[in-house]
Amino acid sequence: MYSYTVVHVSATRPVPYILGYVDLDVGARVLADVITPDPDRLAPDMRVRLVANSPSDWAVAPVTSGDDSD
Amino acid sequence: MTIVTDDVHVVGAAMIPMGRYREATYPGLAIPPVLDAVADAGLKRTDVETIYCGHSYGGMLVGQRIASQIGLGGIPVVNVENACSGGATALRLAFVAVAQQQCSVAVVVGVDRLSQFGGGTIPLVSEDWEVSRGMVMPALYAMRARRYLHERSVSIETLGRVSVKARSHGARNPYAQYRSEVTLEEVLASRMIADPLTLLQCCPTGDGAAAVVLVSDEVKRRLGTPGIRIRSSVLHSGSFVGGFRPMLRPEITFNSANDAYEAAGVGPRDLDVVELHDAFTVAELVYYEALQLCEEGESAAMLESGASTYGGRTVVNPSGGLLAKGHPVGASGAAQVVEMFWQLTGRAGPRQVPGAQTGLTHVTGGGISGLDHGACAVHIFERS
Repeated sequence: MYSYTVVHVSATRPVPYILGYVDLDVGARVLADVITPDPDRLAPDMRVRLVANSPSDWAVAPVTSGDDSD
Repeated sequence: MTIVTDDVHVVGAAMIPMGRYREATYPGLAIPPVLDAVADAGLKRTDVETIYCGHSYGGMLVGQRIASQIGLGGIPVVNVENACSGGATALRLAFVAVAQQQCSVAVVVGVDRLSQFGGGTIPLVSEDWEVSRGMVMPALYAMRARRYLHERSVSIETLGRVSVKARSHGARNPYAQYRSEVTLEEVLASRMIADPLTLLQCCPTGDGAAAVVLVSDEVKRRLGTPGIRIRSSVLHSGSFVGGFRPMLRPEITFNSANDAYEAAGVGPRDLDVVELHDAFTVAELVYYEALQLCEEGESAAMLESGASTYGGRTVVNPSGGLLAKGHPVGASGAAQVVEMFWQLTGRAGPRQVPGAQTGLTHVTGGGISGLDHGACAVHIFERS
């Protein structure tokens, strides 16, 4: 995750929500929703993984020590 | 395309104080500065040969609505939408028209009325993918700010001091939307907009209009009025990048500035005054580096040393910048040139930069996926 922000004012979505720029290992950069119970522990350059976010959407979440090393 | 000429001058400038004019129309905002700028130049309305009008949210034919109400029907009027660079793009088009001798007197007007949206973040292009995912301008700059704090190992206080400086400059500008100073504590304690950017680190939404008059060398000599010469006028568009992009090194501003310096034969150390695109605090710091006012990585030190305020090497945003003066999107590029005209002709009153001879204006902006920014305009001026 290159960078992120917790958005508190938006013209398009209910707030707050977290956006981040994620650089995939294949070289692409995507803007992603970031899901975490603890926004204060987010940091640039931390690894994140793809997670389901509602039946039809996706997001990223910080890789924790319990995760597979993907 | 770079046009090198010393034959185009700004000889008149005017603006209205930025603020919230909820009952105003676009022509109602723009006509006073257009008439004032023409009179300031010592010209008659009928001398105006063409009008370029920058705006983003005024709807169809803003320029014609302005021109027709002041008896200027018939002449070519062009409306320019280029996000935050609209007013500066209108200037660029007028510069080209005069430089290529299509006309000898051109009016540039920038106007927008953001109060029509009632506050909050400005509407972006809803069909854009990132916008559809919730991107708003404060979020984009907040990610840049988060990265800046991370890479530069500086504290949030450094960002806050950008606003403290902007408001101290704006307090001396009767045309600024915010005309009071603020403390660092007030900046950091104001409500969070997009972490780490608080309200007082974001430019206000507001309304405004600004106009300048461009003329040829020949007309300038005939008028015999003070003016400023446009040494270079550069416009770039953003390049799509699908992968990694360093947000602290916005290539569109780097490249635009390099072209502007080269065309003008002027370097960053020659500048007495700069009006740059400080839509959010972090932007000012990033653009110190991109405009090469300091070495890469030295922007925080430049701010903290006082080099960018009165008494320093280059006074950045003597008007208060977008953070204090306000940022009615399409008006800002023109309003920067009004300030530059006043500074370089010694008419800036209590905020005059002593002996200012050479200056630069810079606007960029527009949030669309895959681009650093959509448009960037850089102009370099000198007293003529």
